[in-house]
Amino acid sequence: MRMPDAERAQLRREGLKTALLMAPAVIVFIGLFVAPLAWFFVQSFWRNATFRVVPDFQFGNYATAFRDYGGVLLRTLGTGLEVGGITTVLAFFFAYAVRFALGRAGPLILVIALTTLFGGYVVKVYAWRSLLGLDGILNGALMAAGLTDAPVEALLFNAGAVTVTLTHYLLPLAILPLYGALADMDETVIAAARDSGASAPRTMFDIVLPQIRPALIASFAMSFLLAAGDYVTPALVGSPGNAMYGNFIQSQFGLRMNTPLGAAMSFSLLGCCLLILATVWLVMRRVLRAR
Amino acid sequence: MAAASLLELRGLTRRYGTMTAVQPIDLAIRENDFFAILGPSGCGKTTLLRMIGGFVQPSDGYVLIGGRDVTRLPPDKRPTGMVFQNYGLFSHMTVRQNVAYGLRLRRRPRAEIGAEVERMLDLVHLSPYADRPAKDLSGGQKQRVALARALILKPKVLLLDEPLAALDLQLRKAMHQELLAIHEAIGGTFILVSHDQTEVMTLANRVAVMSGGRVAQEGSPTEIYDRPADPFVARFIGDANLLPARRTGGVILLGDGAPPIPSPGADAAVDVMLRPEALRLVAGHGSGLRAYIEQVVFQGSHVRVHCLAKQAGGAEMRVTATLGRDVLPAGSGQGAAVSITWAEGAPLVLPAGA
Amino acid sequence: MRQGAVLPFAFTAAVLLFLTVPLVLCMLFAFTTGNASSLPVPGLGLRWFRALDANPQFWAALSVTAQVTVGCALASTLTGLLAAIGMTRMSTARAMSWLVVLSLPLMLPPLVLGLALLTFFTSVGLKPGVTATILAHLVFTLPFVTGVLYARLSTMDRAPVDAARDLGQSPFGAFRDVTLPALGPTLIGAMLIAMALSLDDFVITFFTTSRNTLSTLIWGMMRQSITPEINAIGTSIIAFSLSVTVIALRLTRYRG
Repeated sequence: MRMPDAERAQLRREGLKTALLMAPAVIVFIGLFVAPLAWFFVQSFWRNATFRVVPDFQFGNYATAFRDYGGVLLRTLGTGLEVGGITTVLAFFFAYAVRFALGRAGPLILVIALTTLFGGYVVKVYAWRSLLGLDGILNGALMAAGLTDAPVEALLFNAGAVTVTLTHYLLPLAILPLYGALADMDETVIAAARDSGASAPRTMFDIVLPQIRPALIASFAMSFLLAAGDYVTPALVGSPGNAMYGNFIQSQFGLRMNTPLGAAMSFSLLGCCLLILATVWLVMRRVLRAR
Repeated sequence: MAAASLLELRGLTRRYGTMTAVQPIDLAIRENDFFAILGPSGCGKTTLLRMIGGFVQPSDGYVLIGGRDVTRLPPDKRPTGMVFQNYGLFSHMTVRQNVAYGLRLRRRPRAEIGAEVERMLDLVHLSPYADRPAKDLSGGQKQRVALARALILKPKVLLLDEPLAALDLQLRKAMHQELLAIHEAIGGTFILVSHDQTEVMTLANRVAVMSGGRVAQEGSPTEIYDRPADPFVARFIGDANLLPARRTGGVILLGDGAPPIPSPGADAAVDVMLRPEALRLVAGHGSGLRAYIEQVVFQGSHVRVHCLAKQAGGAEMRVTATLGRDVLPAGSGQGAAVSITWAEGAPLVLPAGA
Repeated sequence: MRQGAVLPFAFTAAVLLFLTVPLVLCMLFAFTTGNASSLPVPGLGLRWFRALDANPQFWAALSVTAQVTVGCALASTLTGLLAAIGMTRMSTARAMSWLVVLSLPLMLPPLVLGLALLTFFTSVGLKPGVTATILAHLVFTLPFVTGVLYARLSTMDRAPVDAARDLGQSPFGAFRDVTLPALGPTLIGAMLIAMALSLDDFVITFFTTSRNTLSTLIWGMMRQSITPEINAIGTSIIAFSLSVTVIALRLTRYRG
């Protein structure tokens, strides 16, 4: 009968067409993501000489990244965990309320919250800066209410301001996957759990949270990574005393032009973040499992 | 090529990985046939139709239309027209634009396109809807647009892929009449894929029953109804009592009181098919298969009577009869003793099936 | 309303206030006639928008921003469309793994991605500028665009395309006549999403641009003095990306 070659040739032609269609995306992915990241990684082992970098293979940059900036790194990861945790918890309760408790008002409330998704990252940081500043709205309100005579300096330029600003930026992003997962969840599952005698908190831990675990992890991972990797917020609303790791990474590319150290610091930060995320993932898998 | 078969399938096969959706099939369909491919879902009938239309590449075998090998031709190069189950209308176009699309591709003069479209819309009774957006029509209207859109190109073979499955019963019956009228009016070869045996009986003059990727039987509707090739076909087309029995010395005994059924052949386990409407009931245990009434179900113009009888071996078997209400013996309540009789030629002996 | 719904309402209301009040105030101060971004507002007017209008830096930054966002939207939509079509030719599982792979850049803090790109562009001799910024933005807009377009394409009814082929149209012709019109709104929506994402970015822009975009202009102005002029720029950005997003959502979600 038919030559199987003809069939195979046709399959190959179809495969080639698919490959051609994927080619531009692959070029973008390799050329603008894999290659730059790999090149950056290679540079992290190079040496910095005066005004130029010298190819090498040594771990001095990594040693410096942890030795000189170890304290900052720990504090940065701490801030990341704090912001990631607060954001995820707030986002979960918000999404849960919208999905199950608010009835017909839910979708409208969700839409309002999601309109704050965009608006520009720097704009948001700026909004908080003008809100918390010495002549800012909050101080104005406090003074007008007669609570203080002089402006409270403590509002701006501290770790608290950084946490609040980052949470504000990340919250709508974190709501998205959580609401998506809760929207897909069958309401009758919860009713069935309650019906079988589980209390509301038990239902939450035994049924709801395990079912949306991937979304929980996604929300946390995103807000943690973006918070720990940030440098704009601490630079604008934080104090110089509690600058974050990102600020020091960025400064390697400013005046000092020490690309190898900057690269090593970037990968140190990334490595620590992935380690923490892996731990969180394992813990979540243990705690939130089907029982 | 005498006794012209318009469409010929030779060893047509489709495999998906290790699964074979369509076993090698040979089929010849004559010009002006209304040919139906009937089978349960997953039997490979739609894959077969899509191979004829050029939407699925066969793994093996040939498709010939009018003697020409079209196996490797894409759908746009084949003289086939397809009507899709979910219509496949161009929802951003009007009814008229949908119907005119094929002729526009062929760059026919505007006047000719206009006239042809009018003729087609008239044929499917959609002229008043010509300038409506296709997406605003009802299901039945959409299907008629799909039909007009395919027919306007005067395809040598019109392929209908469960075209009426999405419509409700009343509408479906009306569409049956219309399809028949259209086939009458314009002629041509129609191939219909369906899982609805009533539809197939109503429309087709030739039927192929498919099961598990192969053609179980091919013939006219009456042939297939009266002489099913195997228990599967018997059960799939209409109701059938399939009574297990043994052929011993050229004779089959169904059970107590039943007349012996002559059946030449070697000794073997067989299924005896008896259509419910071929059975008669007589009160009391006289001559005929002795049975007891288990249940009588009123069905409007007739009644179905489920009876329990004993096989020749002693095991119980259920026999269903469909009777006019006037011929139901008096006193036929639950548990009443009856004798089941049939005309001499009624039983059909089939090889024992699953 | 149920009794038990009071707490959820209070909570979501508080979250909503937290999310919106800073932005609303930011926009309010853009319209102040006073000298500072603070309460009380002496009066409302367009004083600071006029100041913006007279500021050549603003117009220059707007021009750069427009080039970047439009360029990025076009490039990522074209690339994403091709990829999404390619993905519909695969099994769903295979297409999903492609989507995951293409989304990997989103898992990288923008700082690291920005610096990696800066280093790479310097090494290959690509000077900071509009082209470099467009290429950089492509990395994180592409996964969104591809995802949105694939979602639409993969749920689209195949029968009309088959019908067009059956009626004599070529594969490309069927795509142009049937798929593209049905895809149209989603395509524009995807383009707008890419624009909004590109506009929203600061970090990666900061490392790849040579002239100010709107977001780097705000950054620069903030480091000097804070005037309601910044609020005026911010308000323009918020208004623009909000309308773009609303249109994009309408086009990708609520239509055919």
